[in-house]
Amino acid sequence: MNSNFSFVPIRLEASKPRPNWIQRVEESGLVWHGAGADSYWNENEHLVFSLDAAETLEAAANELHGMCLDACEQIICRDWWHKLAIAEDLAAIIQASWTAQDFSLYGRFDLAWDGIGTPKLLEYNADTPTSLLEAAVIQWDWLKDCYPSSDQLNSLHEALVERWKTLPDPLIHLACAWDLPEDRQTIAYLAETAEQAGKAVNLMDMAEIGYSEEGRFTDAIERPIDRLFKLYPWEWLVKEPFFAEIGAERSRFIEPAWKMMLSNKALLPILWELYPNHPLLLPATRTREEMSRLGISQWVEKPIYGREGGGISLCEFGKAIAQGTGQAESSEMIYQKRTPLFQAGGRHFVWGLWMVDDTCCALSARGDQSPITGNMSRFHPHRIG
Amino acid sequence: MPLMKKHGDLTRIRNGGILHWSTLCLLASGTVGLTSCDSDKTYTATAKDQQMAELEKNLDEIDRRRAQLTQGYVDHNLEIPGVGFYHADAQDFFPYAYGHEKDGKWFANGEWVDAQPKAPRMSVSRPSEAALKKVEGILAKEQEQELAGGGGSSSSPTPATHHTTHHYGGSGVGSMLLMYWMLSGNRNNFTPGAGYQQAQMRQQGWQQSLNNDRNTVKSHAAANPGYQRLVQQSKQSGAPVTAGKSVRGGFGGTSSGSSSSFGS
Repeated sequence: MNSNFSFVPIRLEASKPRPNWIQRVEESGLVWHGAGADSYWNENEHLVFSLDAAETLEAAANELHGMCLDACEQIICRDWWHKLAIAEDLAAIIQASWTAQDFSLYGRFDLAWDGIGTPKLLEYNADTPTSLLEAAVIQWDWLKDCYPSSDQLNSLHEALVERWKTLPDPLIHLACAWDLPEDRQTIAYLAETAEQAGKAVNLMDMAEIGYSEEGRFTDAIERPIDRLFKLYPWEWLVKEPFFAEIGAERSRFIEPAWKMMLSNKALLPILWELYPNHPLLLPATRTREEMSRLGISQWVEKPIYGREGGGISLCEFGKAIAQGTGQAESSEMIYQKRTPLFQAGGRHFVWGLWMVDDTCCALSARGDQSPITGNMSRFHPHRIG
Repeated sequence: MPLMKKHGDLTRIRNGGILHWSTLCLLASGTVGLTSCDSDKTYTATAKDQQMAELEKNLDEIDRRRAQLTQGYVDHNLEIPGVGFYHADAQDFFPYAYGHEKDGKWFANGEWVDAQPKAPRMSVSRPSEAALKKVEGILAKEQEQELAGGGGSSSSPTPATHHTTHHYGGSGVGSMLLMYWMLSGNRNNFTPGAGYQQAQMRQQGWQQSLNNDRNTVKSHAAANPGYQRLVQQSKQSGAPVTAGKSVRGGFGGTSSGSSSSFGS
């Protein structure tokens, strides 16, 4: 039967959930699966990609990553901080971080692609990407249980372990907002990968981080922090009291400060300016008027900082026709041409392409009845078929 | 079909690993709360932070007392160093807090009783004329000591406070201001003497001294990241700011109150 679909790049296929799926996903750490009709983890259906389709997405992510790194270089060389709404004092830290090539662990591109033409970049979650556990472990477990002879674009776990090994530090601290299960499980999973790389790990609340009289950030038992993975956005850190002390400690932070250039959605108009009409990009501008001048009537308005669809609006001829749930985290907006998402089963799908260091190593899928992916959009496992 | 990307065989989540530990904590809690697995969070400060936090607390306390005292009223069990504890029902100050226990006896309204006293009828009252004269006498004495270079009494001669005490442990200047405000609010209830009249002339200088202290605290807060957060945490928890370790709480404030992931 599957051979009938062999030329279909992407399809949504019904599948029978594992009888013990709740136990299976919880055992692996996914405790926010939301069992029920609108469960977050959904194995009633899964995505099937042709090998060509998976490789198309993988190649797109790798190429986009190279373009993003080039954009970082250009931002610094051309002094384009105003285009990112980044103040000069902050720019100095970012530039120092970029010049020193501060260590980067991972990130996730969100791409749109309906299987026709080329994938398009929606945004780069380069600083605090979540749904990591689902992408790296939960969907892999599902594949092994349900389709053991199938494959998956997924070497995320191995890549993270290998990436940690390149750090000389024997102890890694990992911090997040402790009360949030998803964030805590994400750093717990990353700690697991660091341990498999031979590191000792220490998990902590962001608020537990101390600052010693010796000028070092410290953990709860006064050990200086040599490496800190923080699942906490840089744009928030910069507003907090200890940011004033980051200076000499900057290089100890993962993700690094230079990722502020990539996690800022104002990167999208910059990419369009540097790579006009690139097939992997959508036209993006800093004003509505520029959109209109380009003859574009359907666009998406995005705050330069935001999470899980917060503050995003779909517009037609300047009027909002759909809005994401949640709040925008900045008043500065960018405008990006709307592009069709893959649609199936009454849902719109966005593809997550996971980068570890400079290499794409996994694919994940989120689907929603709304064309705007939000916090509750379903995670669907995938296989290559 | 050619293979795409596969996990290796050694990349499973380990039994008993950190992720499992964390998952068990989450499942055991049943909610988003993770207190059963939280590490012991002690928010501590440098010695200077502790000193400034204590000063700030005293200054806040003095400010808070001003409005009530200048209207003539005193809170039950308020301690003014050098004067004692105010017992609202007795309308007077005594060396022990109301309800202070020692050797099986309890102190209340100026006497030792055999049983723990009931809560007072009044939580606030005006001091009696005799109490006001007593306070004025102490105020005169404090001023003499200050002029003689003693700096006034900054420590209480009274014994350890009962846990319900409204304790004020401020500086000598702070104590003198409290006494002055109290007398000022009750001028119609006693005949002011030299102690009060002298304080009337000097109270602006005392106020200026407190303003200087306030500025010192502000300067410290401005120059020391995390200090304000530290003080806020102390106020919320009731635990004092303690010296000796790193300043904490300088990160994580933006996330307070959020219920969803900060990831994207």
